Amino acid sequence: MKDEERVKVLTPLPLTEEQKDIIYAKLSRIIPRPFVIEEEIDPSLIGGVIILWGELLIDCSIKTQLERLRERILKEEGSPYGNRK
Amino acid sequence: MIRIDRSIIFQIINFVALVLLLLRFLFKPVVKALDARSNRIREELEHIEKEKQALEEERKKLEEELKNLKQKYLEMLDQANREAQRIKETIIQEAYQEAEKIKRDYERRAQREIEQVFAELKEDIVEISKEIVARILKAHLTPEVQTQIIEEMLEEAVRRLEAEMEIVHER
Repeated sequence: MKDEERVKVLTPLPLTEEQKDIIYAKLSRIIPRPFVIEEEIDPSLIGGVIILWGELLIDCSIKTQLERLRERILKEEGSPYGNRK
Repeated sequence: MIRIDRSIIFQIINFVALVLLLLRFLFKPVVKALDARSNRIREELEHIEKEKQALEEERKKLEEELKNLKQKYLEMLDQANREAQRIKETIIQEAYQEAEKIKRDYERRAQREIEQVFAELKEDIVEISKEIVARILKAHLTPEVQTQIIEEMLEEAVRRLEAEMEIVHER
């Protein structure tokens, strides 16, 4: 299996077979060669996964989504109780 | 024939001589002295009259000067009042402007402090909310939910990558 690509998947819960199949099926659309999934548990992700393939990083974690939401709210003008007139 | 006593004639001659002597040595000096006195009195009266006229002129002149001084005093008083009023208005205006400036500075400072407090409060609220949401999601993360998240989020990411790869390929 020397030619197979290695794709690292960070996940907060151990992946089920169904989840691995879904990931494999979706990644096959962008990875032209056969590949193997290497699973690594990271509870800080909260939910979702982070996929690392070579230099490519696909961040589908809830942790990152929450962080982006936090940044967006903080960038918005006004008080936490709405805009004051 | 009328007899004239010689003694009477002699008395008449004496009388006439006396009158002549009186006229010559008494009346004339007296009259002269009286005339001189009268002249002196008249001259003094004239002098007094001249003095009186001079004093009257001086009085009129002093009255005119007093009138001018009063007028000048009133003008100076009026000018001083106007100047005092102008200074008063200037001081009030400057005090008002200074008060307005202080008020604006305080308002700006208060506004900045309020905004700072709200910004910190907002950050705290967002941070706490994020922690709460993270805990809730962690507590409710089941394999089914994880599957759904992977399905939806990975699909979106892969679609985006496919679109980018297609653009690169077309180029």
